[in-house]
Amino acid sequence: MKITLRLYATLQDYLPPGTPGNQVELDLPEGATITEVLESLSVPLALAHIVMVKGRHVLKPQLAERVLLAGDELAVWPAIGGG
Amino acid sequence: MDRIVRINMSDLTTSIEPVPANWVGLGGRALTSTVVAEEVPPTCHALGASNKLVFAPGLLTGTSAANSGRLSAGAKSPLTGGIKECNAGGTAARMLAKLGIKALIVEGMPKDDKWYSVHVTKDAITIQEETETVGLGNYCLVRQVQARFGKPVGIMSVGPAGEMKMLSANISVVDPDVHIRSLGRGGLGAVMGSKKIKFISIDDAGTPPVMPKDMVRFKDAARIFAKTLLDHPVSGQGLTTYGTNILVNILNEAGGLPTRNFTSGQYAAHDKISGETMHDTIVARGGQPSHGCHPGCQIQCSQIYNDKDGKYLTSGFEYETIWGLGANCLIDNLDDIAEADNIMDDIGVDSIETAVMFGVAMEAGVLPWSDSKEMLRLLREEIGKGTPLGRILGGGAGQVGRVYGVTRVPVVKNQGIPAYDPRSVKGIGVTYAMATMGADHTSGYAIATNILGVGGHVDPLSKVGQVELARNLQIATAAIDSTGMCLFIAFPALDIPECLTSLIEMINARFDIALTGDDVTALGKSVLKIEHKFNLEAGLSKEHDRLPEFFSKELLPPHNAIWDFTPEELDAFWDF
Repeated sequence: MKITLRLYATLQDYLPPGTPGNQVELDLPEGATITEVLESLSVPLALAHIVMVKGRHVLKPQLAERVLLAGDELAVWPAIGGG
Repeated sequence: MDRIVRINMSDLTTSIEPVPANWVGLGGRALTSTVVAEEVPPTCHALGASNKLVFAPGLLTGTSAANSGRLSAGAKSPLTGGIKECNAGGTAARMLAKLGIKALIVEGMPKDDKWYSVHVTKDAITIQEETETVGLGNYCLVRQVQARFGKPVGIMSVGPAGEMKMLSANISVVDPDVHIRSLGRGGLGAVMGSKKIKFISIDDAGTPPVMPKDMVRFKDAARIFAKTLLDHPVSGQGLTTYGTNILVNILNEAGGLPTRNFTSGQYAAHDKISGETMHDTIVARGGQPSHGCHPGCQIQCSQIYNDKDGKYLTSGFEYETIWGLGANCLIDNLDDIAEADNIMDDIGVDSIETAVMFGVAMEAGVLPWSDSKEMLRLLREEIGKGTPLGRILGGGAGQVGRVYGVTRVPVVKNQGIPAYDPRSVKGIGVTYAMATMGADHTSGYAIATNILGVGGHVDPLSKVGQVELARNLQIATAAIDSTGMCLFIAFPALDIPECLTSLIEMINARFDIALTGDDVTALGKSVLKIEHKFNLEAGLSKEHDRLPEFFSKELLPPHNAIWDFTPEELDAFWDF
């Protein structure tokens, strides 16, 4: 199944080499979790501070259990702020 | 010895008074709001002689405490009709604190039509007639004033918009690099203009740094406090690297980036105006991605943005400005937005009010959507020169909505709603509705907990917990605004306990007192209640603590979110 992953701010460095912009389409086995996706790209889980799937927050304790579905859009940020 | 300075513009006299006993423990917002509440009739005309314009450094300003150099200003707002407090960086607050000026109160107004400046030193406060600086933009003005004195004096000034008493006019504060910071919201520039003061300059020569009463205790606390700012990933790294504009992409992803005058929560061209793009552009053009707005700033969220030729274009280029002219007006050209930011600083208008206004003006057909060149022309040629159209636009979003019969006008208490759609980020919606300042994200920054995962998490799309969140944040903010601290210390304060305890310890060492955390919370509550009472007496009733009707009628894509708080749920905000 295919999902879209977007890594923002300093996490862009963890995208596969040559990725244009900050977005990549991934082909995942059924049942893949958010944690598995991040580990597959060597994104340190400690840096994955804000995680959203289709614009909805997924909290840290749920990352290892949250199974992704075909067409999901996964977005991840380090700790950022503003205002 | 701290003192109160009064500048009476009715008879062009000045006076110095001891600090009244009930003002001794106050600073920053607590002091400016208290002075306004005690001395300004709530029903007075905000641009009349009865209003007062109050400037105050915070409780810790002038000390070596990191990020303690914010200047507070207060008055009755001509935009909202209620009380107003703004704070900004720059050099003025530290200078006032070193001069021992706890508050500088401008009152009355001249009987003639002349313009004046005020110069403050340790020896004298002088009022002088101004001629050659009248009509100048802020950038030209601050250079002329510093050249006049031959040194980097602190300056608070108004541009042409303030001289014309436009409701979006702000007060500019010069920063350490002779760039402009802004006491932005609520039309305080119009109040200063009504008193016919073009600028106030401050020379702190011959004054020592502010010395805490217990220096050893203070230094220990200041060290711990500074470390918490460094240790927290937002204040120590995120803000420093990307500035506030890093928020474009995350609000877009969350469906809370108001687009095309609040008709969608996502903007297709978000990447072109994002913090990541801006950072790369600044670096490529030899600008400065990190920069402090006041001496002693450790967070450095400001920046210097250069044009394509590597020449200075603007600084202090904030998310709310970029959102407002970007997604809100469908302008995807960051250089044009930066140029607009520079013009707004120069003519002296609030970049949030003006950006929200342009969204309404585009909806009204005053200019086409995404037409950045016409937007720049309107700023420069109409607002900046005070043409009839410019005076309408300079009155802000509410005024333009009324003049052109627009019903989708995002304002609360007539002040433009910034940067975060209240339907899909409901905590900030409660802040917008209930803030004593009108729509003001800085009054209680629920984005931290709704979106950014700071201070825990409250689901932005659910009503649950939002009133309590907004209440607690507004109480904490009112207290922080009284210390002279930058509000961004709230990020570590929400997550690292030592941040708040060391902050309180610094205040205790500064004055040799024994405040507790409960005392600081009580101070925040007291400030809010003083401001709320003023608003009620000014005629801003609970019916004004509401969002515009369209937020309850129009679903916001992509989540099809709606504003669904009942009046009773909102009114519970004041149950403390």
